[in-house]
Amino acid sequence: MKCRAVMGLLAKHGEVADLPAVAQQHIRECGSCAAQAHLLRKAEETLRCVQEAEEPAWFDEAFFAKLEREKARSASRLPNRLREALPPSRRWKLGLVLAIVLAHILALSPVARSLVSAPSNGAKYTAEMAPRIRQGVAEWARHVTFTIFGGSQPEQAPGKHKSSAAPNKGNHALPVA
Amino acid sequence: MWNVDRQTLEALRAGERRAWEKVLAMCRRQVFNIAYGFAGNAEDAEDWAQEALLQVYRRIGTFRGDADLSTWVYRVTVNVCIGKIRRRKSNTSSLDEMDDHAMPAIEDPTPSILSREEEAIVRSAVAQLPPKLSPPVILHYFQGLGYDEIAKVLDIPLGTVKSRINRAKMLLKDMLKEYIMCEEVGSV
Repeated sequence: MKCRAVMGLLAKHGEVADLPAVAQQHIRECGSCAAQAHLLRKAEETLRCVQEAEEPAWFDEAFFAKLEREKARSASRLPNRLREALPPSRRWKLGLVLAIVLAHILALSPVARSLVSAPSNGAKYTAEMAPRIRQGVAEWARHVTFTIFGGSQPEQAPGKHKSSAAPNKGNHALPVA
Repeated sequence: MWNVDRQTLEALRAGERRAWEKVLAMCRRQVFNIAYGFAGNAEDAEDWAQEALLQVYRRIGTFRGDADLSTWVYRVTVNVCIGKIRRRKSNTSSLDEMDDHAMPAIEDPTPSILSREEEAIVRSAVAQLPPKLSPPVILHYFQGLGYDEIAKVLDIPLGTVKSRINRAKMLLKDMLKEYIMCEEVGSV
């Protein structure tokens, strides 16, 4: 058995007496592990020797006055008074109800609406963009048809886009709006 | 471990002074002792113990009475002390930083009694343990609580209490190594 494994077991069990026989045998034979086990035992003995602390001197009238002041101060705060008035089990329920009500209020507030609704000029923007997109798609479809099936280029209405007038130049991309 | 009857508990909740005097008389020493274990020095321990007792006073309304009052008081104290340790600046001197002359001269080789300086070294080492490991050690060795009582106070399984104490002992073994060796040399 390796020293590291023995130390791991010692850390787990805390006492040499609680270790498996193999580990105990190792500690008896290995000087380093025996020293560590000895240190552990001495550390525990030292801990047990620590005496209880002496009673402090502050436990007197002054401390009770402090408690009284604290009581008066905490009683004056509304949340504290509410908390004291409610038992812990009901506090959770009340908290849950308040959270739901708050969430509703927030969801219905103008701020929440502005967050989820479209921008005010959304309709105008869509109206401007839709014909241009449709035109771009139609142009691309004509170009693909011409490339695959050959033949004469489909007629274009005069005054249309320049890109549609010269389809062989490899402009396969959709026109950028 | 100690507890109070229902009538006393109601009196505590109502803030009756006589009830508080009775309870504080029962717990003040233990609370200070726990705080001392965490703080490692008497000055901080006094402040922390007072803070813990103030918390007990403030929060007595939240005590449901399922466990012993002593369990709850110790838990409040441990929580206050852990909070204080987290906030404490790292300007306290560690064992490694201590000067050689800070190590006590061993006057009495009998292992059952530690001098004030020796005790300070041990308490300081315990105070430097990781926050999860120090509470079981303090409650077990300084407060004399059993593993099952510690499990209740810290609200952790019994096996966790044992493993944390064993891990803490392994750390303390290394932290107190110099002191133990010094002591052995002194006693020879």
